[in-house]
Amino acid sequence: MLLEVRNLKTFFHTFRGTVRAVDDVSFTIAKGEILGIVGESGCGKSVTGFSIMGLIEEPGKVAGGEILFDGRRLLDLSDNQMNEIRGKEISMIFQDPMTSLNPVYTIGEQIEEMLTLHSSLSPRERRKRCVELLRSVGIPNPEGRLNDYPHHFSGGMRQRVIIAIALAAEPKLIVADEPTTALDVTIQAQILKLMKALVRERNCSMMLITHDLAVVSEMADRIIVMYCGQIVEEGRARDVIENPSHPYTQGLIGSIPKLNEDKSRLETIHGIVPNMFELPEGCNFSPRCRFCREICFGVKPDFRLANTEGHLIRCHSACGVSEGGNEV
Amino acid sequence: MLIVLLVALFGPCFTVQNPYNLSAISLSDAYKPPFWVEGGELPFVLGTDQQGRDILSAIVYGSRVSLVIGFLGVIFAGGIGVALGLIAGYFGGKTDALIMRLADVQLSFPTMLIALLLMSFFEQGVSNILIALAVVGWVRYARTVRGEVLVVKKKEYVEATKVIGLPNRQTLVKHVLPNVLTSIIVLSTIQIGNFILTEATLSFLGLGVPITRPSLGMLCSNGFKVLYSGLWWVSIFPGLYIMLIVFGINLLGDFLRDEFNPRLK
Amino acid sequence: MSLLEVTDLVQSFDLTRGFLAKLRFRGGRLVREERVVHAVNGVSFRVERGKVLSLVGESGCGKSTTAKTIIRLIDPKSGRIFYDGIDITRFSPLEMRPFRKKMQMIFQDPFASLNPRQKVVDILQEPMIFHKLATPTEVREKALSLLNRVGLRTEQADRYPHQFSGGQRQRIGIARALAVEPEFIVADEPVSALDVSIQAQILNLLMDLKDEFRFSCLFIAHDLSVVKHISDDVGVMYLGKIVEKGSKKDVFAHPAHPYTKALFASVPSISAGKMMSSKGIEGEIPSAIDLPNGCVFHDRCPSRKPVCHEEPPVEREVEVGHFVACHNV
Repeated sequence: MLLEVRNLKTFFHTFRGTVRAVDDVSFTIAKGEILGIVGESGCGKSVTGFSIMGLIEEPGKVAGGEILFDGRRLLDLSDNQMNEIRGKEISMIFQDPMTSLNPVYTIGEQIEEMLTLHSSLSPRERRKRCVELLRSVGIPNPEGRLNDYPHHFSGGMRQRVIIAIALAAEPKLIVADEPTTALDVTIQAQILKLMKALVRERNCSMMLITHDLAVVSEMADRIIVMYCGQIVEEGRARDVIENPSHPYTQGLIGSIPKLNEDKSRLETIHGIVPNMFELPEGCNFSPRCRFCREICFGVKPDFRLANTEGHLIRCHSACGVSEGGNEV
Repeated sequence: MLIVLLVALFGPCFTVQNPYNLSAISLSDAYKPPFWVEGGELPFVLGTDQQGRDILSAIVYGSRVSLVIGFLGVIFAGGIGVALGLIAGYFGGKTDALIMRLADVQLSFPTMLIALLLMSFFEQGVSNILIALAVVGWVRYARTVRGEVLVVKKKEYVEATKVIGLPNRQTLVKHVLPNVLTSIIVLSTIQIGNFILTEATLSFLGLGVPITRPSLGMLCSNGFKVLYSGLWWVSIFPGLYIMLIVFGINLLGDFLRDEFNPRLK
Repeated sequence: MSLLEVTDLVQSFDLTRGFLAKLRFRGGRLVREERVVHAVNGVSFRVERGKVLSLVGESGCGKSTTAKTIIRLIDPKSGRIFYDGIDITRFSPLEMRPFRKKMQMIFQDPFASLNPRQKVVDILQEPMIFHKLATPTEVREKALSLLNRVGLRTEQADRYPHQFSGGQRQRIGIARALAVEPEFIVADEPVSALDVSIQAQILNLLMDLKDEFRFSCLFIAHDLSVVKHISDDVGVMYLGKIVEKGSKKDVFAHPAHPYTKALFASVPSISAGKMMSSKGIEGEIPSAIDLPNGCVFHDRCPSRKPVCHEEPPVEREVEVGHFVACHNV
């Protein structure tokens, strides 16, 4: 296992109370694997990513759990040690290609900065490497574009540059937080294909955080579905998409309008995501759940195995589990 | 702040003398120090000035003049500035260019210079001070409001009012103005303070209110002449009081800003 | 007769206001240069009574500009807009006022489309009061029933917009548009800012309301699957032009323009890696400041011919009511 997250808890302490943004989340990422984390806004998927990167800022705090990366406990490392790992071994791709590049440096300088920090290449080698990187992410005429500033690039091209920067130090893990949300579909398709190809080619791992189930189903090997700070379903991509077992996942898949289906009405999940300050007493999803029973209101469900191997859900009701479920 | 207002409103009932009433003043009481200093005596709590006026009474009366000038100044300057700012920001184009160039020209002169110039044309008097303050004060309002309006008018809720068909005037008053109100209030509290200080400076330089109705600035100015003779109390107490007022108004501004924001309710 | 007919609509924005801004140094000489964004370049379409026409395209294709021009938030540069047979292209705001009762708009961003300092009930009452559609006594009641209709509780009426979630705000925005009981609604990406599960709720709501209030709709979207769901007719836009239009059935079943095909191929789908294996298209949308000669799509088109560089294609009817602007069809 390249990354192992155990019982991660990240809380935000605000004036109105404590938000349990990530509450007892555990998962692993194997070498060369693409793990997709899906959920709607506020479900804690981005906070999970930031926690792994050690980028949680006040008023947030990692309140418990363990993050093992390549055998090292990330939560025990000092800021300096974390800086060594960030960028070199774990790098991050952010959502907004318009703001994640610094407008006052050329893109050549920004890629080189990464190389200077995390490699021992000579200036000339660095230059060569920059060109290679830009070429590998599909930027035409890379030599000529090294000295351009970010505003000379369109959104899709900037995202390619950001990917090039993320790849510069040959990281073992890439955390991509909504990498294509700000892009148009035709560009999104280009970028997704590029990312998948690069990950496979370099045999690095990727944690893809997105709200778009369709995107993860095209990209990921395994999928985690999050709701209100907890993982509600986890499994191999095909299992989760074709056999969604948690009512929330089922609802999510039902609410996506599909190109190849003719239906007059969409299935929906009624209601809205609960306020993070006043989570329900039992299952977080109980107020919106179609299959909700008495136990769901009172008792938090455990994370347990669904039908197939490696397919886990957090639900009392699904898959005909016997009445009463698992008492905590 | 409340205290300052109360003092200004009801203070005259409790003071020992009316500083405007010359018959109540006795020259023999001149230059009495505050009562806790040797030579001081009650009822002149903060001492007296060269004409035997009780400093405390003078401060109470003076603060009324200062506050009236501050508040009215803000209302005049704010009224003109906000209206012009709304028009400039909302309609844009030539109107905007005209108003903003005018503002630029005025900003390129120091505020004090313009105020001094105006006051040297006019006679001394509260109403003339107000005119001078409005003339120098509108620019900041207009610029602030215009900037905010430029942001607000691009919001979809303003477009929605156009789709409903509301006339511009109604859109401006009901939808744009309330959303720029916060910054107007914040600016106003700063400006009241500024205006009181400007007035004080003008009076200090002898171009402010007439000597018969001393404002706080005037009191400072009077005391300044004898400050080096060791008669510090004549000047210091009005000065401290100006500070207190300005501080209080700023606190009030913070409070009002929170109060007007529906998000915080 | 169609409810709304638009012919040859052109919209452009001058980036260089004023004479001085137009001056620029080029090769050591001072030259006058205009930088104009050609947002919409000759768009024609019709919205039939009771139908939903969707305009779909990627950002910068001019679909939102078209919407805002039709509802007369911006004045068109040229072209004609007919509403119910009346030419409203050059109507003044005063002349437009009676039409404001008939045409309404739903906005994209639920966080910017409601005045933060107005209570929800006031937001809904304002259009009714202004157009005198309700007496002062019944106006509140009407607003409350409208609120109920879009799925909010009446006791939420006296709250401010910030106390609602994005989906709920969008419901309020829809209710505001419906307050004047319009015949025609322009919906500018009404669900693109929402989460999937909420998006489905709002789409269902819109479709129910459409049947109930019998309005026609111009629906702007970038998401083909949403369009598929809600519309009767579809127009695909690229760089300010409609490259393909027709009934939803025809366009989705036999997309004819290479750009439409590429759009379909690029949509990620949850039913197994279709997008990953498809070819998609290379390159990005060219700048709307210097439009390409010939066909606007030629530099990304997989099946371009020499003629595409030179001549803009004319619209051809490939099936009944299915028009495509491409030299290859």
